Amino acid sequence: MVAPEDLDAVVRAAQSGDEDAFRLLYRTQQPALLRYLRVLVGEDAEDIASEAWLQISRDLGTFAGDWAGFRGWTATVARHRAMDSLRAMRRRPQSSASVEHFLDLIAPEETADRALELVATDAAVALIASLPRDQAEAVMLRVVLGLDAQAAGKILGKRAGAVRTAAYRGLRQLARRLESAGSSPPLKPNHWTGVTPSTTPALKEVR
Amino acid sequence: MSSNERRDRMDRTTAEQFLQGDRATLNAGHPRLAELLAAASASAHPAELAGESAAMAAFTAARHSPPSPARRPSMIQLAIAKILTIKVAAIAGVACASVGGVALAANAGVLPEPISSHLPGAHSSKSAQPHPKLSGSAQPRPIPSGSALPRPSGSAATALDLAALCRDFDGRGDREHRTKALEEQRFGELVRQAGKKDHDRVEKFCARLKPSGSPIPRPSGSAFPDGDRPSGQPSTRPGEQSGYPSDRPSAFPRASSGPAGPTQQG
Repeated sequence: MVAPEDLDAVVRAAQSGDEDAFRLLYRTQQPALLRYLRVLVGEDAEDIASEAWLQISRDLGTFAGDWAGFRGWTATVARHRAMDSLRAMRRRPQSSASVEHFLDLIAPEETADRALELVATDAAVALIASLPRDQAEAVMLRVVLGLDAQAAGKILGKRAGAVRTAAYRGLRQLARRLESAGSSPPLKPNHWTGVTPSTTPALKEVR
Repeated sequence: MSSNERRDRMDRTTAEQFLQGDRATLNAGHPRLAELLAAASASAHPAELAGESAAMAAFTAARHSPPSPARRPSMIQLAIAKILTIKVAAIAGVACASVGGVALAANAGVLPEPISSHLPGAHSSKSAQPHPKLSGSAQPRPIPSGSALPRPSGSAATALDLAALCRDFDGRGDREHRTKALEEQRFGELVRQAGKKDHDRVEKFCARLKPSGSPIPRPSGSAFPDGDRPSGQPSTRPGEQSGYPSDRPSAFPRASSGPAGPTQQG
């Protein structure tokens, strides 16, 4: 993997027209953008990612910043394109996520398979996507895109504190779902205090 | 089977520690969640890079096009930019350093601001004093909308006249009166510049000349039916870049070696 400080130089090289540099930026950033977009627009993610890259390549010359900035900027571009698309559709796509499906996929002996690895990634992203959107976005931006709370907040138009809270709630909810499913007999979650009452259809199915 | 006794509710500190790169704590307390997040941020899979050639083609195309490709910077922007450069240099006559920003902004095809700010009795009080600094990012930019682009005649005097005509036009009261006013000969030049004797057309044209008239188009871009979108705010983000951590190698992209915690114990 290329170190972040090297990627700063790669960003500059791409800006001055270096194709190999741009290709490297694409390969490094695209998976994260695609997964983030999957949370936002579901199956349209590929199309929206293409649109985003079109704009990124067009506007790269006007961008000023390093690799960290580039990550934030590209996420912003992708999000704008996604929001346009959602406005056109007037709804957020439903996530069909299942905790069991994910747990099946992460059995250690199977993850050596690259194809399964991708399926596991997709399943994980789908589970995150089944969270309320603010939580899902906060988790994706922080975990998958590697942005800090402040940078994520700028993209979402929120304060850093709000992003921290959303990410925390998202993680807590995911942990709860994962740990109440799977091999051990389902436990009643009532010994957890302060749980949010909102559970998703996916969670209900599981129980 | 279930040595997974630690069913602690995930606490806020653990979450934040994890988000800041400390994976060990999470692995210990919430192995499944750690697995999930590792899978979500696993390294690139070839299938995810299917759009690479398209992205490369876009990059190459952008490289070989003029500076602002696909955005149609338009003759009017360039012409106004030229006028501005000359006018600002002439009128402000300020030290190169401060004018530099204006010239730069103007060359980039932005900002009708100084035009109206130099108007005799322009609309807002702040415009009474031309100030090079005004040309910062807060200015509206003229957006060409149609294919028949208004062509300024290229002289500063005309730009001033147009702004004055626009104010007159604005002052004609409601839409009906203003539409009627367009028939008058004195608005002939304005109509010609706007490209059509049409109320909306002229109004839009004037809005672009006016500093307070039109807000800067937001990068979301949906307001641009022809697909010429302004960028996803590359011009505003750069100032904020320091906010992004560059020291989070563990966050992304990451091989699935990620959190190494055991999923199933026992």
